[in-house]
Amino acid sequence: MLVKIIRFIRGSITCTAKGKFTERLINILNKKGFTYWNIIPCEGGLSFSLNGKEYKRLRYILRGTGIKTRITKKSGVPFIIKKYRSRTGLIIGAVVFIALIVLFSKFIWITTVSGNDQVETTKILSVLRDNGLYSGVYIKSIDNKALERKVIEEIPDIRWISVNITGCKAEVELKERYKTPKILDKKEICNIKASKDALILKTNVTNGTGVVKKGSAVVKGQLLISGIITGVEGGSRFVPASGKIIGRTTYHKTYSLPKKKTMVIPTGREEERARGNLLWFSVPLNFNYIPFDSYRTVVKTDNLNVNDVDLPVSVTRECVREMEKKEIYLKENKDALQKIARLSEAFEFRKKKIENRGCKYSEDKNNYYLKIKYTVRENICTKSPLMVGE
Amino acid sequence: MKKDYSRLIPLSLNSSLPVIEMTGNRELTIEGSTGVLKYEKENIKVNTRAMVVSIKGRCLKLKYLSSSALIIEGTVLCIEFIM
Repeated sequence: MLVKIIRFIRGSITCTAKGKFTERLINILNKKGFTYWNIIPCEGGLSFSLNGKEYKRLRYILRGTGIKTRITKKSGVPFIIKKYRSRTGLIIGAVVFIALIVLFSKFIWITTVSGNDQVETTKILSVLRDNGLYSGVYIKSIDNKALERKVIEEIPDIRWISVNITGCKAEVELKERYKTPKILDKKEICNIKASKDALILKTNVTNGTGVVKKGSAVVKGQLLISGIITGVEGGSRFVPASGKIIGRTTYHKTYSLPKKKTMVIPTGREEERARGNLLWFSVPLNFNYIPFDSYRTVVKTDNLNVNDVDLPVSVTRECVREMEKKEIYLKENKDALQKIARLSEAFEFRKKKIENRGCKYSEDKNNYYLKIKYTVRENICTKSPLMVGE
Repeated sequence: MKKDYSRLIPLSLNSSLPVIEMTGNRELTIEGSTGVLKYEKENIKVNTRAMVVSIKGRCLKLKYLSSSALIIEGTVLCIEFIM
């Protein structure tokens, strides 16, 4: 294999020799110290291969011997260079290509993060970026140990991190810190009281003495589960009361929508601009002028994705939309009010079950209103310290 | 009477005789060759100091050649020594 590579680099010629007693050629090649190989007898002579540079010397030696040689094949680097010598652009292109490969291999192209579950990848990448690890950074400028130390300092949820640089790829492996579960202080003696006025639907006392029963009505602050347990023999002991008391409660909410609203809306005119990005280079792909005074820009970046890995080669498109301020007079829109209400409910009654919604629409000079009476099923327990005299 | 001392020297040390080594009938090494006289697929004649060795066979080919040795590859059917 090595011999073949050397022959390819030096260049070789395969030729046929014809004439009288071509066997003499073998002896001449041998005696004159030629480097030759692959001697095969063929019709009327023989074919052989020899170094490209030695062919001229052979022709000179064979003069007058009656043996004529003819080249059948030329191969190797010198002949390829000779073939493309006139096409300088191609050679320059090849040189530039190799130079770019060498240059770009000295920078980080991809950063991958593995081992995180609770801590978000974007947060880790952001911290890494702040501390000098990002696509396009010079590999030798990265101090792994210092980087690892800084990331652990900035994200306390990480207990171990390792930054490994393999070629142009930075692989970040980490382990998250185990969160210690909150241990309830069992010695904290307390009562459980009602957080709202409610009608009791279900009781589930796990510790303490239940004071209320299913079907009874309670007011805010009323004792539901007592932290005092009286024994059969008359003695009593204090415990941290716990349990679940489900009650039916009511809420009154009012949502409003203004009749007149100043909004910034798009006029329909827009311009697009694009930029090509490669590592830290950014080149504008067009030079569109933005003639708008007031506009909003939507930026979208498409990365080149190979094998589910985003490479730092991307096109950033900016869509610039002209905006203008307008005063809009809204008609009564029940759907819009309902949507506002639903959005509010999603946050306020997240852990509660809404049994009934009583809606009522109204309006005044400036606003539309939606008043809703909610009937809700919820846990009304709230802890209260056990006071002397209770 | 003149004594023939050449009889006392072992044959392997007699440099005028070629040393021929064969691997089955597939490969043949001749040490002490001085040139190739005939080179065809069916017949190769090799000159040595003492004799001409004619090798007949099929698909014969010179695998290696130097100033004093050569290796022939192929199916050797017959070896003839021409004095």
